[in-house]
Amino acid sequence: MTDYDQATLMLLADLESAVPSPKRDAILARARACRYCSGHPCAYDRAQRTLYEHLLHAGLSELASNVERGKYYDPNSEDGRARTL
Amino acid sequence: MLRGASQIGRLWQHPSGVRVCSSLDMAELPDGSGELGQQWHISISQSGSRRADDEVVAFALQAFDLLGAEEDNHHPGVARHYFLVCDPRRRVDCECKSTETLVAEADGYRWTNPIDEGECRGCEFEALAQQLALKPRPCPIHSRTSAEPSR
Repeated sequence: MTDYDQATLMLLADLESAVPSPKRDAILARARACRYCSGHPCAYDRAQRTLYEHLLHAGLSELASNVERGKYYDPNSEDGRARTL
Repeated sequence: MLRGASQIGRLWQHPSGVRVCSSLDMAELPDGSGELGQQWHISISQSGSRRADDEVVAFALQAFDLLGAEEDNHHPGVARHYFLVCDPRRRVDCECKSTETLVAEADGYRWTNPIDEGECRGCEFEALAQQLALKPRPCPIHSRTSAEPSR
């Protein structure tokens, strides 16, 4: 773990906030559908989980490409300017 | 029970561009018993929607103290997924590898597909990527367009 740059550690919530809203919502809606299938954790299997994370990796790479070291886009900012953490 | 997306894991980014999502999952154990158990899970990719090569994977597994974890991918996505069942007595290779079709892509990436139930996962992922306006991810099995190399 020590090899990873803790300064750039971001909770998913932060990264989700960095993704433009419509696509972020679509990804999260899909994730929730996966995780709460039938409303029971028994339905929570590896395939569902990994599908969500594939979307997360792909989506964040593309949609949050503006996430820079130590910065992310403030979802509350009207002009979407980067805010230093 | 897991709630909120922010509680399911953390995303780590190495200065080199490697991204790792780490989490502790409660999911069906891989032995086919149907029982649930805790499993450490990390998924690894490189910035730019690229798959991580073996060297990067080895680096990440070591960094997260997950040497010996099982690679288990279920879709032709960008991330490589590694699982390690917390209880060492329950660690076996995922049953899916013997009950599902193993697909090997040109770059060596391997994923499993159900033999006879429901939609092809490659097609499922292609449709989702399209739905979410992500970079096209043609199904390596069924798409008429050739898939672009991912790394």
